[in-house]
Amino acid sequence: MIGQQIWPPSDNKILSRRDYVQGMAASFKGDPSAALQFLQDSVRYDGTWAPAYNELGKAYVRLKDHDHAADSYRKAIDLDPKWVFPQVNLAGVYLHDKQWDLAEQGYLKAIQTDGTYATAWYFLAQTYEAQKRRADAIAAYEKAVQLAATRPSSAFKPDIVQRHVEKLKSKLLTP
Amino acid sequence: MARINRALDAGELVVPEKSSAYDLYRHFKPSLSAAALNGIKEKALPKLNIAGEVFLQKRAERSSFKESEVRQLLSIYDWAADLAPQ
Repeated sequence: MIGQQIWPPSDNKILSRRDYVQGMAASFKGDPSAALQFLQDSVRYDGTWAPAYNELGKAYVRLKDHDHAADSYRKAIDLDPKWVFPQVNLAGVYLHDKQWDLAEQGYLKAIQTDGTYATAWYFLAQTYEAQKRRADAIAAYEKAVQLAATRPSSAFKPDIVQRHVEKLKSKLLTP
Repeated sequence: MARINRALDAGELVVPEKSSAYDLYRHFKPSLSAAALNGIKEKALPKLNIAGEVFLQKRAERSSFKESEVRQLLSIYDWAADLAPQ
């Protein structure tokens, strides 16, 4: 997925990785503008590496530039179609922008790529819930909670989601 | 040069602080000959590249990094970029 060819690396590959890491470090320090610059440099040095585009997408999201974020995630997906993170991140842009159909398609595609990724199920549930599709949301939340038991997600706390599911179920029963 | 080589052989590329190969390299770099620099480059660059890729592979498999990991990666690629011909 990441370094198809470990050795010898091209100089540009090394510089691309360096700027990618500097971009991450800038993000850690809470400086999204600097992160963006490093990550733009990273993809300029090596435009064939999906993780740099994925990270670039996140930098654009932090700067609230969703169009460029989506473009970056799409590029990461093109470069590595079997990598689930940029798929979930792209769907996240649609979810944030209330483009429900695109968000749903995006999360379903991510689940097709990796059906054990609890985070994708959780946000699919949120997409359904935002559209008042409560039965679908309950099923997706329950799947997320079930998967998180073996592969925890940083996106949600299973016990809180479980309580939320119970509330949704009671609403379903209310005429 | 011998201390840098020992640290490289021990796999102490960028940690522990002050005695890692990278810290020693930065300390002794001004006094190293061109031949010694070349020797370090030939030995260190493949190790740095592999170490960096292993870290980055982790990033691809889980969504977040610890700050300490980012610091190590920064040192790995700063050194690799310093050694690579520009």
